[in-house]
Amino acid sequence: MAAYLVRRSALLLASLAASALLVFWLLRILPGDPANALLSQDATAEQVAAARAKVGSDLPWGVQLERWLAGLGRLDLGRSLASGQSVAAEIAQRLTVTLPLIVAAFLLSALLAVGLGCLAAFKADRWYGVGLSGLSQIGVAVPVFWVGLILVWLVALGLNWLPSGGFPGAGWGRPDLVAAHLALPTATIALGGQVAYLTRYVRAAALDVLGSDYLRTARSLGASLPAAFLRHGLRNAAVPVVSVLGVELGTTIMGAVVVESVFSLPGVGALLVQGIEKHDYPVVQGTLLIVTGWVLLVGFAADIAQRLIDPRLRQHHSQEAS
Amino acid sequence: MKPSPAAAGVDGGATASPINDGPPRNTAGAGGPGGRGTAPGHPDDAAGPIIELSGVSYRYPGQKRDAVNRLDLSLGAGQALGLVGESGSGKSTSLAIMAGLIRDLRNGHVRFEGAPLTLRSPARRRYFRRRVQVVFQDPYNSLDPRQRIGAALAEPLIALGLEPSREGRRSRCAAMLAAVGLEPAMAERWPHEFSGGQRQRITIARALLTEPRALLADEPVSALDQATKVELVDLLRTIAAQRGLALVMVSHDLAVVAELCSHLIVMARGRVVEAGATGQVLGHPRQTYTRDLIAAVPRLPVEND
Amino acid sequence: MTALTGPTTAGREADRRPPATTTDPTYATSGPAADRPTALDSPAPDALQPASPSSPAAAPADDRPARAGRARRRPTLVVGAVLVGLGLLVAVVSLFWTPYNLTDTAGGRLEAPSLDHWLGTDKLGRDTASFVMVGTRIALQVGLGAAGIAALAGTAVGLAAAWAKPWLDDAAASVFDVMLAFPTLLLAMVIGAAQGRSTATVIIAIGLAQSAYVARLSRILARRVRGQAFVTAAIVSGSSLWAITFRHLLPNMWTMLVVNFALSFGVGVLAEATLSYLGLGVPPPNASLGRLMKEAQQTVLTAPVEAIAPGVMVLVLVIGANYLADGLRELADPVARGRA
Repeated sequence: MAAYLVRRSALLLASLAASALLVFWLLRILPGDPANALLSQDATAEQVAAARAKVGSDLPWGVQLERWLAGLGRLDLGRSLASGQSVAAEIAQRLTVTLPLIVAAFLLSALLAVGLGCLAAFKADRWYGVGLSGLSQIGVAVPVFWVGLILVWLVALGLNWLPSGGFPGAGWGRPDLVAAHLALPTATIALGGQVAYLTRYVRAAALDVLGSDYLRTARSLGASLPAAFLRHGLRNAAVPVVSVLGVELGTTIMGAVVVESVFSLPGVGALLVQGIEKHDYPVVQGTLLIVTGWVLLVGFAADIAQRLIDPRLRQHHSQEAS
Repeated sequence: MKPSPAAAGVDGGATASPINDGPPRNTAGAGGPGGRGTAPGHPDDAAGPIIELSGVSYRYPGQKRDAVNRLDLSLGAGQALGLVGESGSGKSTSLAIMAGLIRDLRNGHVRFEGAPLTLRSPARRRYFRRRVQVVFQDPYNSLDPRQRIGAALAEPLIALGLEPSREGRRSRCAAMLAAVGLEPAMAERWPHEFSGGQRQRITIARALLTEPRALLADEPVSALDQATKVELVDLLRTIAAQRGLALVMVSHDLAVVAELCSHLIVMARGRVVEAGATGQVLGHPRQTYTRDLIAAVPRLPVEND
Repeated sequence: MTALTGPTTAGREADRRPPATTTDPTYATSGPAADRPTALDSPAPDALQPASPSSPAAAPADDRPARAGRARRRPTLVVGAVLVGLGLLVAVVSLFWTPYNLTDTAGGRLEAPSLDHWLGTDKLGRDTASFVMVGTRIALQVGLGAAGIAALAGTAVGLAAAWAKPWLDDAAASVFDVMLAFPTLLLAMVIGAAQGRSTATVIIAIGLAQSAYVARLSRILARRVRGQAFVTAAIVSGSSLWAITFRHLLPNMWTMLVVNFALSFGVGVLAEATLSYLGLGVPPPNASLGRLMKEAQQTVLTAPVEAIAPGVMVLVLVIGANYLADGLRELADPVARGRA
């Protein structure tokens, strides 16, 4: 296990490094100079040169890369071309909106998926079990932002007791307001495909367990279905499900990117979108890094967790090592 | 023809020696024309061995042990050579090296018709591939399931430029199908429509279309049932005799090898352990390993009354 | 074998949709199992089975009636084809005719659906139905174009990697994995970012973003076929790499690539809609479905149809694509298994 930890950590670091390079490289090979963000259409040659000097795009790539990497080391992601603010500070501030959103959405999705998935599996032969499967087909095909629209419409139609956008100015100083403002976005991310996607995996895993020999054995020895499932099946069903959950948590951030636009939330996702719109390269670089970093970190944690849960993996590994 | 039962269990003192005793030598196939007495030789036959391996060593990537180690091997014109040994002894690897499929050797040389084997130029490649063909082990894997038989057969003719006209190819394939005991009309069908034995016949037909000097067979009958085995072995023997083919057969089945091959090479752990005429090796095995191999052949309990 | 040694990736879908199939969520071309390279390399039961090599999947031409009969017994394929066909029909018709001109603002503002305006009008008085039709056409253009680019580029690179020397092949596999760590939508956003926005750049961006996935898929498929004895036989028969690629590799890979194309198409449609919604996609005055929904958002209370209809269209196309992929996969495998 320790050996695996070391290897996997090394892989994580390598992936992070590779991502940083990829981010840097992607933004530089594309046509269009970053300095254009500061210029108007008919800028003079001097203005162009001045802008490029300011942005640093007149330097050779090697130097630009060095600078950026050095900045990374100091946790300095540069300054926004549009606002002049420190990108790192901006991101840190916005994470207070995005992270809770992601975590809440993920938890909601996981809970709903486990519940619905097990229901669909246990009642696979009933009409509602089949119906759930069909619903999940729709669920994965639906655009996230459309779900948001519909939710806003429904809520506004009906009760209007949930705000349909924005974030309280006082931020976390008023947690009740925050919760209200994050409720619809959270539901949107969850219902906008996550629940459907996860449900299918939970259902498949549960079906697997239900059809398994060891479960039949346990039942023949007198255990009731739920008890047998919980005691024996859970661990086995958990393995693929944890794997999926891990990946989903990672990609929830993309849901956040979209949903923050739908509900005008001042989060990291919204920052990314604005940065791209305005060609604000330092912002784009910084947020991209954070986003991919999140995905890689979560993936790492999920791998470790899966390793811990699945005795077969550990056993196999120790056999390998010996 | 069965291996002599007398070999089982007899251990004559001084001749018992550990596997790695002595330098790897190969007394089988010292070149020379014909190996089958009166059978006609191949039109291309010249003096000298067809394929020669000297001091060849090769290790698969990531392995800790050489698959073959300082191997010497020689295949003479018209000769029927059997490569036997347990799994992992390096027989199939040796065959692959002889077939030019493994090129990055650690040590040693491969010679083809006296000259070092190079496949760099397309001309040399075509020349070699014409003259040395291979039959593979798994009949369910050696034919592309998405290719009709006719197309599979015609592939070497097309790739090596041996028959420019489609009509010519068709007739040659039809003739070859007949030669291996199948119907020419089968060229229109798909591999999955045939049994294992039939598929092996097809792969043999494909190999023979280029009129090779040497046929390298990697366990060609291992995947077949007993009755089919016998048929295929007969086919191989007939064909090799008719065309003066040199034959190398890799097999873990001593009975099959003994049927077809006049010379045997016993391999273990990538090295030649024993070599010689089949009757000699099987009748009077010098190494313990060989004896164990022979003893492992299951024998039917026959009552002698 | 199952040890998760690769970087976990997430980038299969635009905003994480659409994943697996109706019948089998563990079908790993788009689930997390697919994103982990080792699951693909190990002979996991459902992961990426090309039609098993010991049986043909391409039915000979005279088998077509039988195949149509089989299709009738496969609801997923039919449903998928119908849904996508519907979208295709709308898109093609929009090339020649829409109920109103896109610039025609004669209708009243934010009207409800009526016989005159089937889906009502927007805040400028323009006919929503016409916009939805044109938007569908754009969605199809982008979806098909991106899937096509991904298929071509990805397959070419994957094949090259499969033939390359082991160290180069390993390096390529690692590059694919790193690229796959970026969610598709993210990649598409960035690739499309710096360029002048047009339909073409959106197609290229989404296409390139998906090509890493196809590259990995085709590399694995090609390697799998390459390991079969009949490829060695082809080498021994003197066939060149090119000949082997076109005569043996591609024919044994194409069914899975087609299934993936269908999924890719769905991803592309979603990606295009999302990008347009965010303002990063096809520029105005192009009537992208995503942009329609964005513009309809403020008036969702008074004119819900305007916001809902484009979404329904996207849904139809993506569900259709998923079912189509499912159906095609079913078609490829059991036919083969049945005959073998």
